[in-house]
Amino acid sequence: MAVSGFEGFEKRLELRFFDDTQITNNNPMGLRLIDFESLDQVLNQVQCTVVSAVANRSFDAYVLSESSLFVYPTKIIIKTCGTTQLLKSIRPLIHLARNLNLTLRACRYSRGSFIFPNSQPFPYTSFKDEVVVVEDSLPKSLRYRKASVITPSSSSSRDWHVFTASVDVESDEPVVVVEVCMTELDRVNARSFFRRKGDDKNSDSAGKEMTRLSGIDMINANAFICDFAFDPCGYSMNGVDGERYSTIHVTPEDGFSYASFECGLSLYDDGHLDVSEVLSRAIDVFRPGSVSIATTYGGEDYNHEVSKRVERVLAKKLGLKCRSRLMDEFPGSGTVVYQSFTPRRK
Amino acid sequence: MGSNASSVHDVPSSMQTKSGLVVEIESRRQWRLLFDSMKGSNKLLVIDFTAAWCGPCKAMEPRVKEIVSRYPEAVFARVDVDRLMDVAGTYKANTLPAFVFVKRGEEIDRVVGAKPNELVNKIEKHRV
Repeated sequence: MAVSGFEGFEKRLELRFFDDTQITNNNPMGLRLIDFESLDQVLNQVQCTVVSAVANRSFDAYVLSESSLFVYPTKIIIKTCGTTQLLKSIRPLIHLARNLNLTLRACRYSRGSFIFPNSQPFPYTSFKDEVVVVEDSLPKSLRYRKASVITPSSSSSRDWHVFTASVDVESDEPVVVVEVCMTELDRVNARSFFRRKGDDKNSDSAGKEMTRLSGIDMINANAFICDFAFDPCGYSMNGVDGERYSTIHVTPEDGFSYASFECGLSLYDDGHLDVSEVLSRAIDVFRPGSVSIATTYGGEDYNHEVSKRVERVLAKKLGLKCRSRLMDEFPGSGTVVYQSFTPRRK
Repeated sequence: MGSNASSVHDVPSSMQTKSGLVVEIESRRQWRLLFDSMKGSNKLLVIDFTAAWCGPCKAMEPRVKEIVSRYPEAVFARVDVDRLMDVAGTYKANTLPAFVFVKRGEEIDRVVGAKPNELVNKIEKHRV
């Protein structure tokens, strides 16, 4: 294990705003009306920048120098890795939304466990400190709050940290969010994410090649992939498929290799996208030595069967054994199921 | 991954602005006239598909302006996909920004996404 290297584990922030029909009829674009200069300034404070972007009728998707940003009419998701100051974005984003008459409804801050926790700046050296900073940045109207660290008993598993705050105690968020964190990537598979010496490609075409060679384009054949290759190594992509987003980030270096896959989907997709199949394909790209999956069910629809099916498919197709499955409930933000896997032989 | 990647938005300060500009297509008639007038020549037509709802399109606008001014021999036409839905439909421009390269009436290439380096690459490739 390296003494220090690039931190792949991301910090994730999701802000949801009220979908007041009066407002959204006059302004169906909602948050998408925030001008780019203002967004750029917020990202500056977080210490990252936009390197690629794409949009469709449902949302805007930005690939950042340190992960991704998604802007929907009433929802923003920012995910940043490295040593970025993600929580600095909360106040300015709430302010920008208020200028568009959008009121904050819920906030969720989550992350795994850093590979290099001592390399993080304050307050990211301790989840308790992060929670204090988030709480300080939120209006009192978000009364229902909870902070939780999900700790698997299995020694090979990492903790998952979640803080949520909400105006309502009920959550009616229809989107299910699945966050997959992978470490100890297969060395041969990880090679796809290094730039080849002397290639005369730019970051966009190199990224396209990585998407193809790694098989990432086959995870969801319906999605448009906006990809980017970093120099000398590293890869990011945002997938856009109607309302659904997906995103992958790869730190391929041996010793601290990491890859994440996240997607938002509806369980009522009537079989168009089988979650287990999608996850299996995504994880197969990297053949990691360790995987964790955090699934957030926004509403009342936590389905035991879905989690069990994911475990069955991963065991059968990838030889990954589920070492731990834990659950926690968050008022106004739904249920989180956290599963940890390692290959069967271990 | 590193943070030494340059932003999609920034224009190099050494650039001088020339008078190459983007033709804003307001009507289907205007589109047909432009398209038909270019079918006979070997000139490169780049259709810049945008929309009011497209944040990334706005993010890239300054770079597009700068790039367009560098290639006055090519014709850049901006099409709003909600205003000219059938043109957008013909070229399946659903994910934006989309830069579609047309020569002699046929699509020869496209760049989808706010990717200024890729846009320049392809213009260089197809301009002759």
